[in-house]
Amino acid sequence: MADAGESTTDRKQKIDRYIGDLAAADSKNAVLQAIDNLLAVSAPVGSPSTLDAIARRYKSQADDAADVQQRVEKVAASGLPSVWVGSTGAKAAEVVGAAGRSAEQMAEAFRKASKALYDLSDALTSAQSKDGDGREQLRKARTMLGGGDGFFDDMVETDDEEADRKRAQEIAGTGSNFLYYAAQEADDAARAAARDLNKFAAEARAGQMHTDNISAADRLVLADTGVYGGPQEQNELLTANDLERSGRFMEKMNAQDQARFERMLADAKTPQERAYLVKALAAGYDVDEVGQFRDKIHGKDPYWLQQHLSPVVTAGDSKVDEGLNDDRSNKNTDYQWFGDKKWSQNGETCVPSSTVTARAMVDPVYALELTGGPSGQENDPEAFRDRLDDEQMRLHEEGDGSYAHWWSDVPTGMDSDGQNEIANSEISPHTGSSYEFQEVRGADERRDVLPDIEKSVAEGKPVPFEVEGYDEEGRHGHQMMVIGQEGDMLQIYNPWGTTTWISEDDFVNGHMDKASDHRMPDAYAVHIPADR
Amino acid sequence: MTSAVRRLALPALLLTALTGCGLTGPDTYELDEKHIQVDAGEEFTLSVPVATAMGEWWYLTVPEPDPDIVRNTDKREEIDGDDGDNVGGHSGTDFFDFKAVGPGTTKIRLIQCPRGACAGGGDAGGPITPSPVPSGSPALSKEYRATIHTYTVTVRKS
Repeated sequence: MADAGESTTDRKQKIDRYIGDLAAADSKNAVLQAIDNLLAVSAPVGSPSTLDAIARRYKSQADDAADVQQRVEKVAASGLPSVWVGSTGAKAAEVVGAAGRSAEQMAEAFRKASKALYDLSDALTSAQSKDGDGREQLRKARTMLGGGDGFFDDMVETDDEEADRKRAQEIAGTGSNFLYYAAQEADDAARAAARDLNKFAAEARAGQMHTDNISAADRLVLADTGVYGGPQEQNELLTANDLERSGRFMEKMNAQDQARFERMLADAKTPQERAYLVKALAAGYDVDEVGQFRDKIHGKDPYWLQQHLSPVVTAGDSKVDEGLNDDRSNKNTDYQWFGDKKWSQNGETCVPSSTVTARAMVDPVYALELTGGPSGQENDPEAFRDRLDDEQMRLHEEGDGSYAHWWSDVPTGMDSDGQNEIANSEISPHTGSSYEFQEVRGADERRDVLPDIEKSVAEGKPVPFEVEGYDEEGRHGHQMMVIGQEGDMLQIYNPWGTTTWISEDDFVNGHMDKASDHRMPDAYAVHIPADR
Repeated sequence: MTSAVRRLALPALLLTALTGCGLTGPDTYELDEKHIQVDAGEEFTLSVPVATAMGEWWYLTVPEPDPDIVRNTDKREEIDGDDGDNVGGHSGTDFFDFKAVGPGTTKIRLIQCPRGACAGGGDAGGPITPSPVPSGSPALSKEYRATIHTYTVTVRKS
């Protein structure tokens, strides 16, 4: 009986193990046992016809969304009275623009989801066919061998029996290879489909904000607002998690707080100011605290807001492959600045440094404390750098980091307990997900953890991970963060002050040097955001 | 005071004598030793500290030393690794090995590259040099800029 709950990776690993047993088998009974084990592994599960039907439905919905987009664009072209505003102050032009882009993204998401399902269906059909051929060969080999030998028969194998056994072993070997290829094909296809569908689900962003306290039009504009300085679709200011959490917090507010918060949104001078207020709420601050934050950022232009509140901006050309540097890192790397100072580590503090930046990405109140100082109004990169250094050292202490020697104040790295502790104490309170440390030393383990990473970053939760390399002198490691995902690419923040994109295959196959350098190519541990 | 100087000077003299007579292998020169005198045929090494945890790299850069006087034979790196399951607490030393081939004076230039401060090498090839600052960009702070360290080497006839 096929076990539908068995993961595609488990199936592949089992088949791989039994192929080894089959090749090593030196008796009829051992060959029969290996064949039976192989036949007991479940075939690729799933119904291609059901997948095709869903894919057709998505295609039709993509066409409907494209029709909506055209109609919205007509409205935008014909113009709307400029006096119309949403309840929180979003202007008509902003709403229509956001609606058009949302419909366009929806159409594209349905189209791509339809393609992802068709691809999965094709791959599953092919995998099931290969698997069927493989099983036929295995059954043929078993028939050739007949029943198992008794205890005494098993002790002696004649030349003829050995020749028969080896012939059957060869046929079974061919069949088992088919099973493996089928398992591999199904595993790859399932993984690709899950990755794409998770991403599209997270991108249905306006729908994440479950609250009636602000209008659908305002939700649309909030979800559509981008950080200044990069393409909107790669720099969405509010993540899916921000929208979901802020919606939930708004629902819990008393009437007075609701009114105060709505007034702040309505008075905001730009869509960015409004979205940063929502982000502060999503980060867990109460309305009084958001009010104090609002007083510091009110009326600032989008560039000032980006510099002070968003440590990372993704450039439009950031995914272009420009080749590798001498140290095997990507040439196409963006440096993240506040003025002329980088959001980077200063000393052997990669763990606290990446944690500080990750928190600043999800918590704009904290980002402003670092960039704008106590008043929130400073614009001094030197002072920012001093505060950043102090904060990195505070987290180094908090995570019980190491020092050069017992009376030294020179930091020298942090262990896995400290890594997870500071991720939980600094980032988790502002995303609502606690982190779980997980070792991923093999390619299969890394492949298996990818869906969790993809889902987390699609929702807007940074994923810390560690890399390492070895030489004759020992081991050296580093921490970085996955902060974005598009297709099969992951965006990595390195506390050396950079962001770059690597492929998921690079993550799986030990090429993380593209995001760091060739001293540390292997990802071996991740901190996965878990419960809400 | 005099005895203190003697106490410090004696080990230093002993060390100089040991390295100078070649008992400990090729002479190794640290970052603060920029004027070097060697005999033709001798091998020597330049040793520099490298902040591996910060993504720093060091390279031999252009103009390279006169090949009739000094030749670069190797570059090695030793990293003092992380303890236990720590990450981010390592640092290293780079060793640039040379051979003095003929008499004369030449310059060796090593470039110290904080993260992103250098260009060249890799897929594009060519020498590694300081990264150009894009036109219109503000000048980079000193800590983000490459530094070229120049050694003057005089090779005596053996």
